[in-house]
Amino acid sequence: MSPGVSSSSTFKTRATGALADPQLQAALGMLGEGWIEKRRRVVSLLPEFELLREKAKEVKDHVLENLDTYLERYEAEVTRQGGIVHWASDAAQAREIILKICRDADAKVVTRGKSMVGEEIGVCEALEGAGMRVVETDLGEYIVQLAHEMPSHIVFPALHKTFDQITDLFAEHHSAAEYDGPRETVADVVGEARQVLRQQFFIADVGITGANYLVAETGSSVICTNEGNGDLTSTLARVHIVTAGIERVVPTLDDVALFTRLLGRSATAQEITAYTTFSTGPKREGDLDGPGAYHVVLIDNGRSRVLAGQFREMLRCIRCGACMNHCPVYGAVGGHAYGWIYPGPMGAVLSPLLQGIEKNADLPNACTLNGRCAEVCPVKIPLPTLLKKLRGVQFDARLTSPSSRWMLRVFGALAQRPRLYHLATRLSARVLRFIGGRRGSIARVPFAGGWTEVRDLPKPPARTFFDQWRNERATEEKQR
Amino acid sequence: MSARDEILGRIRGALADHRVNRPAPTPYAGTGVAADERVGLGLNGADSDALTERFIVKATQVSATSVRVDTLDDVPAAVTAYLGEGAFVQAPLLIAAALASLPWPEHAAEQAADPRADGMTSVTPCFAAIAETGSVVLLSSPKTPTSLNFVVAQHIVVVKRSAVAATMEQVWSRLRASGQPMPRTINVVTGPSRTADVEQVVQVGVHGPQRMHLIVCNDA
Repeated sequence: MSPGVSSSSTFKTRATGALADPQLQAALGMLGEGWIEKRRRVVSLLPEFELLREKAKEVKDHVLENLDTYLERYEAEVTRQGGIVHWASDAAQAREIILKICRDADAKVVTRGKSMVGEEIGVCEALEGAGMRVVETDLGEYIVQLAHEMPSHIVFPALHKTFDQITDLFAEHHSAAEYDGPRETVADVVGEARQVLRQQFFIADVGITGANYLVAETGSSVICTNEGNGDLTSTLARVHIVTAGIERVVPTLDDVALFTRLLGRSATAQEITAYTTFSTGPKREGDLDGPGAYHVVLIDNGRSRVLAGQFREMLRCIRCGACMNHCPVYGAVGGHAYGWIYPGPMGAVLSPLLQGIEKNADLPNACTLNGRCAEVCPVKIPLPTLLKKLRGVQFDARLTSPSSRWMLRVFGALAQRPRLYHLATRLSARVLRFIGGRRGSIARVPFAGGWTEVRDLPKPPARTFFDQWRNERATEEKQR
Repeated sequence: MSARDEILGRIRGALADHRVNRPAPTPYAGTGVAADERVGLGLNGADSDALTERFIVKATQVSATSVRVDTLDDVPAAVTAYLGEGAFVQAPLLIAAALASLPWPEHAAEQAADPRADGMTSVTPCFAAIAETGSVVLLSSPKTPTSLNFVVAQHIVVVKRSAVAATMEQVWSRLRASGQPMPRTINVVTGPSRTADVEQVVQVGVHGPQRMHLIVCNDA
C-alpha cells in the first residue's frame, strides 16, 4: 500500500476486514483502556491542565489569525541564523524541493525521524524512487517500513503489529551478521533495533525530521521525541531537512513550554517527552558536530484552504493522538481502515479536508458522536462538530447515497413540523410495538436491514418521550 | 509567482474577512502565557533547596539516577564511583571539553574513544535544569557538542544547584538574560531514551542513552 494515496476501497470494507483480522484484533486489544487510564492519571496531577488547554487554544487561534505575519517572522529569523526556508504549495512541490536538496548533497543514505507531514507528502517513496536508501529510524516507523505498510497511529505507528509479527519481520530482514541475539522480550527487540540502526545514523548524508513547533522568535524547529533517533538524525547527517506544515509556527519559546505540558500528557501520558530539541540553523564555527546545511520546507498542501473555511479549528491540532486513543471506532478497527496516514477522529476530519471529501466519503460517518475525542483534545478542537459539518458538506454536494438523502430529507421535513413529527413518532412507536410483540425486541426493521443484521432493536415504550414529558408537566402543574 | 507568494497570498485571502480593525500583533507579546502566574505548580516562588529537591524527585521518576556532591572538584570522584573503581580507568569515556579543567584521574580510553562504538559514557555540564519536570537543558557549543548527549550508552550530567529553575519559561528568561545568541541546538532532556512502539510496553534505552546519571553539585 503506498502512503500518500488512499486505497480505492471504502472505510466500510476496510473496517469489515479489520474486524475479521485476528492478529489486528489482538494488537488492538493491547490498546484497551491503557492510555486512557494513564492519561487520566497524569492529567489529574496537574490542576492547571484545563487552564492550559484554554491558553493553548488561544495561542493557536492567535497564530492562525496572524499566520502570514508569524511565518514571515519565522522565515526572517531562520535566514538570519544561516538556514534556508523553502515553500511548497503541495506535496509534489515539497517532494521536488527535498529531492533537489538530497541530489545536490549527493545523498546515498537518508535517515528519517518520525514525521506525519513527511508521510503526508510521500517523501520516502520519492527519494527511494530516485535511487536513495531511506532509513526510518523511529522504531515504530522502522517496523512499518520493513512491513511495507502505512503507520496506523500518529504516535505509535506500529500499534497494529503484535510482538510475534515484529520478531518475524526482524528475523526476515536482519542478517545474523547484524544481530544474533535472542528475540524473547521487548527489551531484546528494542536492543536489536538500536544495534542495527546505530550505524545508519553515522553514514547518513541527509537527515529529515518533522517539527512539532517552529519558533518565530528564534527561527528554531522543535521536535518532541522519546527514542533519541530524531536527534541522532538531525545531528549526525551532513544536511538536516525539516519538513513542517505551515500551521506549526508559534510565537515564542515560552509558547513551546506551554504546549510541551499538553503534548506529552495527551500523547503518551508523560509530563514531558524524554527529548525536546530546538534546532537553529546549521553548524557554527568551531562546532564539532551538527549539519553543514539546515533547510526548512514549509508545506501548505491544503492548509491555507482549510484556514479559509468553517474548518479552521482543525489547524490547531498538535498531533498528540489522544483523540484516537479515546475513540471506540478506532479501538475496534485500527488505523488502516481510515485509508490514509491520519486515522481516528482527527483523521476523519483532516483527510477529507486535505484530500477532498469525495475521496473520503465515509470518513465523516465513521463516528458515533460520543464526544470523548473533543473532551480530551488538548487544544479543544470540537471534532464531533466538525464531523457533523462535513456530513452537511457531503449532503449539499450530493455525495451521499440517494436512499440516505431521501431518508434525511423526510426526517428534515418531519423535524420542522412538530405536529406531524409527534404524530409520526406516535404511529411508528405503535407499529414497532406491534412488530415487537411479546418478544420485546425487534429482529428486523423495514429500511434498516443493515442495522438489525447484527443487533435487535428494543421494543419502544407505549408512550413517546414527548407524551410522557407533557403528562409529567401537567401533573406537576396540578399539584402546585 | 513563487510558491511563497502563492501561499502567503492564500493565507491573506483566507484571513481577509477578519482583518478589519485588527492591529498587527506586537512582536512576541501576543500570547502572554509566560507571565501567567497561575501556571507552574506553585514552583515560581520556591527557594533553591526546594527546587533542587523537586528536580531530583522528578528526574528519579523518569528513571534517571542521581548523587549529590559539594563542589565541582568532587565530580570526577563521583563519576569514578558511578562507573566502578576498576571500570573507570578503561571505560570508553567522553568528557565535554567544558569540564576538562576538573581534576580527572588518569584515564586510559579517553583519547581513543570512537563515537561510533556503542557502550560509551559521556560527562557533560548543563546550562539549566527544570524542577517541574526533572529535565536538564543542554546547549550546543564547541566545548559541549550535541553528540555527547545522544551517541553514548550512559550520559552523566553535572547540575549546579544554582542552575535549577522552576519551569522551562524560567530557563528561557535566563537564556535571554545571559545575552548569548540562540545556540544551534538546545536539548531539553528528561531521563534516558525510551519507546512504547512494541505492544505499547515502555522500554527504557532505545537509540539515545540507556542510562542517565545526574551529579548535583551544591556549590554555586
